Amino acid sequence: MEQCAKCGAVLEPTDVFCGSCGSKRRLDTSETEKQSIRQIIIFYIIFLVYSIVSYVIYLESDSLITEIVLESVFVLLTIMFSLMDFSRILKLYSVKYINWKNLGFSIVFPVFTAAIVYYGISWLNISLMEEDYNMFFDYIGYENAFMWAFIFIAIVAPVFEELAFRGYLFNQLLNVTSPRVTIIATALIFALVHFSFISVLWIFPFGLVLGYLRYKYRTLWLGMLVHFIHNLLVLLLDYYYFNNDSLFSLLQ
Amino acid sequence: MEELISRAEEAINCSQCDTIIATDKIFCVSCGFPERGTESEKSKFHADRVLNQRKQQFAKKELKTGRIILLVIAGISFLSGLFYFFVMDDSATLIASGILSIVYLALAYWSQQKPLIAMVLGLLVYLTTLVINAIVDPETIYRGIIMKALIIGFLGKGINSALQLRKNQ
Repeated sequence: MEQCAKCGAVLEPTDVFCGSCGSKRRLDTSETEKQSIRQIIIFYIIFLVYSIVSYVIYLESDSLITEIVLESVFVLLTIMFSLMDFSRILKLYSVKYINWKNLGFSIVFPVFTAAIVYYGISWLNISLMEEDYNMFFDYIGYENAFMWAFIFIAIVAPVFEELAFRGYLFNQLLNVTSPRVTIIATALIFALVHFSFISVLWIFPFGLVLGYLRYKYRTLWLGMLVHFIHNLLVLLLDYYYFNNDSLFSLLQ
Repeated sequence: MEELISRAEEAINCSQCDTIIATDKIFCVSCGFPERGTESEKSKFHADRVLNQRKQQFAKKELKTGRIILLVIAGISFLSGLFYFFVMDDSATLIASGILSIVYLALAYWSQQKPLIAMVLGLLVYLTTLVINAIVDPETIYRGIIMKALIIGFLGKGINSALQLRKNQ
């Protein structure tokens, strides 16, 4: 039996108002909703500010130390936000619903996306901007270039982007809306933070799949795996073409 | 079951919404009308209801403004894309602006069913464009700053109204 929060009279399940004191039955969802919306916006604005600041810092200095410090700030920010929702996020690291079928999918799927995206982007970049972008190229100034590229691109990005988007942001949106809308919204935000509207074309569907995996199997592991394999393959392709492309070897 | 009790205890129906009100209750459990309350309580109920309705109408209006703003930015980004394409021969910007305006249009359409999420996403997309423009060309930060503030303000109000409308549902 539920009781009125104000006067303690017994409420029937269908009652909207308390018959004894006339106060509206407390629907505490609206306060949580407001809180979640506020958190989503704050989270995103902090991320935007972080992007601007790191862009300005990169202009000044692009040493390995700068890279490590900025990546650590991103990691710390993500962990800080996640701590606010700690118990629910911890549950997402369970492996309860992982089986051979979804594990197999999570290994095969990124192989396709990496191939499509890699050659798709190259084609788009060359036909639109007449130049291609090589991710590995950003790292060649460092000692052990491949190791650092591997750590930042294939490890840090999947682990913490999944935590930030499929963990924290996903949970906040679920407080406000249905799972279907949440999957769409996180995919759009995930596409936005890559700062290129053309890339929305492939990051948005990619984000939809990651969101679906997160929702259906209630785990971040599958998303991290997909993200890891995808990023690793793209990095390897960039590494391969960097070492075999005649133009790049001239630079070396 | 409810009917049986009401016949035995001579319960009355709510004069506002016709819900049966049990004898031990002062207020209607479905609309909150103080059927067995004092006159002043009753008039307060009516006053509150009118106030609420006006708030609701106002929220709906603001939500509509938010939707129009989304359509306007969709138009602006498409036009600027065309400008870059025809004047500066920049097809990459045209495609990016085209995608952007499709996103805005989709959000404006979506705001009819899911006003809250559509408005929040609209605001986030808009903030992102401001940041991207600022990175590409820092001078754009101050260009049309009043217009930018207005757009952000209207989208923020749209979010507030959407929250308000959900609360009263």
